[in-house]
Amino acid sequence: MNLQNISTREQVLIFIVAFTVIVGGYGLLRYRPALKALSELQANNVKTAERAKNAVIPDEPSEDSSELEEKILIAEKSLAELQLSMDDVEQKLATEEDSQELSLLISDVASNAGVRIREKVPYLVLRVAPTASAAPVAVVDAPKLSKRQQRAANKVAKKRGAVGMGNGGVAVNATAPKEGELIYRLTNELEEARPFQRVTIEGSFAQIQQFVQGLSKLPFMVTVTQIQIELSPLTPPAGFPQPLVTKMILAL
Amino acid sequence: MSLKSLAQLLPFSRRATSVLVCETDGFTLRGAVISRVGDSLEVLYAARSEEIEFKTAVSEIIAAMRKQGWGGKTAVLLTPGALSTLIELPVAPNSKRPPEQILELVRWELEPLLMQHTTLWAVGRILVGLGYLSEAQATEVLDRQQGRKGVVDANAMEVYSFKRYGEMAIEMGYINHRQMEECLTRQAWLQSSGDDIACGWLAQPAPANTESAEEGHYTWLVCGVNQGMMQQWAAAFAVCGVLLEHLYPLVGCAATAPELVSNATGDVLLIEVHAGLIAGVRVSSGAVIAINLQQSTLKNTLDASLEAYHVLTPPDVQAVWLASALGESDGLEISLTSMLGRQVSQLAIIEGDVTPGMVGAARNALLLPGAVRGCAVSVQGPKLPLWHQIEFRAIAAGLLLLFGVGAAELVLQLRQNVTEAESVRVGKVAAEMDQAVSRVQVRVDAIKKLQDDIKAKNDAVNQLQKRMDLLSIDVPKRSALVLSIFSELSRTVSDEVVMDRFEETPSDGFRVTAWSLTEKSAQQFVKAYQSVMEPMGYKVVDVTVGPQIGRLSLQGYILRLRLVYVQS
Repeated sequence: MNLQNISTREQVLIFIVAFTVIVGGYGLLRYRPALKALSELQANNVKTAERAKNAVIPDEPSEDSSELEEKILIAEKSLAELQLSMDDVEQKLATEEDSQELSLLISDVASNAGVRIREKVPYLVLRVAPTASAAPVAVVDAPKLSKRQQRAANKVAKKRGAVGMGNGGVAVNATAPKEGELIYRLTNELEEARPFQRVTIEGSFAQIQQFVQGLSKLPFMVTVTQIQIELSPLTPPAGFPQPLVTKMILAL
Repeated sequence: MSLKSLAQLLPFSRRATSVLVCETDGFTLRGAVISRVGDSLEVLYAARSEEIEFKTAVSEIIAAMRKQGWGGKTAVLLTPGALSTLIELPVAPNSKRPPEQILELVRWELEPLLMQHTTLWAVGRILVGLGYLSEAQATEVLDRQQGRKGVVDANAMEVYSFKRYGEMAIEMGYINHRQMEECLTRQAWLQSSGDDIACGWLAQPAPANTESAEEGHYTWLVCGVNQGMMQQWAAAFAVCGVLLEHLYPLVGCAATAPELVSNATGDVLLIEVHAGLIAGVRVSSGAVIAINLQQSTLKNTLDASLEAYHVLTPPDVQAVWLASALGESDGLEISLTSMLGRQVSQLAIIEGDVTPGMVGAARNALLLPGAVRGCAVSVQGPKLPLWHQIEFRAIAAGLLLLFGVGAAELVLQLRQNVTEAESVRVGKVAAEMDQAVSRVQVRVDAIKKLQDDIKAKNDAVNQLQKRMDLLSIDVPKRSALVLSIFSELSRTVSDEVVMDRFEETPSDGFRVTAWSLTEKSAQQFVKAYQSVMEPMGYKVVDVTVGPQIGRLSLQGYILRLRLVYVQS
């Protein structure tokens, strides 16, 4: 092929084709990706500059760390002292191992007071805000419990009743106590919720009073958290005073 | 690497370093590869062919050159068929006129001269050149053909005047048919059918303030050759793979010799004698200012040379040079010196078989100093301006694209560098800021951790204190309260009052329901009970006493009250 024979028009066409191929190829394969990368870098720069511009250096803390550490030490010391005191107090609380003995003692107090125990069953109170170390004691509202939860609650109650009360009665679920009530506090504010028993006794006022006094003299802490006294529906024999039926919720 | 050597890399600007110079006088073909060494020339290879066919001769020469080691691809040819002369054109040397226009002007001037020149190579001249006819026989045949008086009668003139020269010479018994055929074959070396002519031109720098330049006419050294003949020779070279670039006149090229550079004191005259042609060339200030072409035979070479000298002088010249091939005109230099009464110097001959014309043509083809005094016809036509050359356009387009791409790359690189520098700067600022923030944040976090620890410890203390208070204060207090309620009830209840109901409620406190035999005893109970419970923080409220039948169906009063804890 003789190059000299290529006309001007053909030369222009060849140039246009070569220009298109070279410039197009360069633009597509090199310029455009490079420009994109450049734009990303610039955007990144703007972003970084904006971040640096808007960065806020937090105020230097005014507290002295040594003072704070000293406060921690003081708090730890207080905690240790309190824990010692708490241990002493908790000595008066019946453990699971002591429950049968306590149940016997309550029966003994009732016998001595001359009251007749009509009912002594575990009284289950739901722990509202269980701590990590304390598992929920039971549930409160029976209608709200699922069957599985009900079975679990009964299982727990049965276990507690068998061990702690020795009465073999069926546990009853408490209505939810209000915050501030003693039952609520003994359930939720202690590391481990205290067990409760609902005791129904029958006797004269003086006998009931003697029973309550007897409870306060037990070696373990037994507290009457709720009390309800009413006349017995049964008519006494002639010459005998009308007996009183007393329902008590005892915190053990 | 110098700029000149760089320019050599460009195909359109490449300056040849050697060239095959061929020369024909119509009877032989000689060739020489002449190479440039600095500003001088060197003959590398030489060959000669006596073939009758010029195509065969070309092949033979090129084959001989190849055999000797020549690897070039370009050649130039000196031929008597080319005519070189000076003409005046109304075109300035630096004129930007298109080559086509100048070609027309040159052709207009050169065409009659070339037609006249071509007649020099008539059959008779060739037969004489080949030695088949003597000068006298040639003249006799011509006279007879033209019917000149005294040679033939009137009737014979009518017969002979329509016969060709060769036929006439055969009829007269001077030559035979074989010799005639050889003559015609030789004629093909120098002539061709067709009237088209190819031209070459070269402006001659006119001496300052010359008359013609002031009138707007400028001297151009031009060269012309029959187009058909040129193409024949070019085809013969092309068959052998060699490009025939230029055709030069047989005589006149020696004017490119450096010896002819005249100084300011006067002009120089060259008398070039070769193959029956004599060219007188007058050189002034490095330019050809006059040319005279003479035809001669061996016998009258001296006379023709003297005539050429006298045509070109006066004015007198500073020096006279003689250029002739080795052994072609022995003693001519001495004869001219003697006849002219002045020194005539012989141009140096580089090598025996290489004529001064070949050397001059090589000097012109290789663009050596003095090349301006030689003119050739370009086989490829007038050299186009640089911008019109396709190689230049291709390279220019390539460079343009390269420049564009390079500019884009440069812009990209610059922007990249600026952006990266900005990135480094911003990154440094951000890192410093992050470092400052993190340094303070570490302290803040440490203090916060300590504060959290304190809070946790205090919370634990409070929690424990709360439990402690519950078990050690609140629970015993509750027990005491229950006991007190019972004991105070038993103490304040008289014989006329019996307890019916005692109930503790979360919201209403203690609700007490009793039955009294008399209203007074009921009120006394309320008063007494209120007085004993007040020290313990309890207050009796909502007291209602109303008649109601009680136990044993006795008429009495029902008593209801509430015992609420009053915060002190």
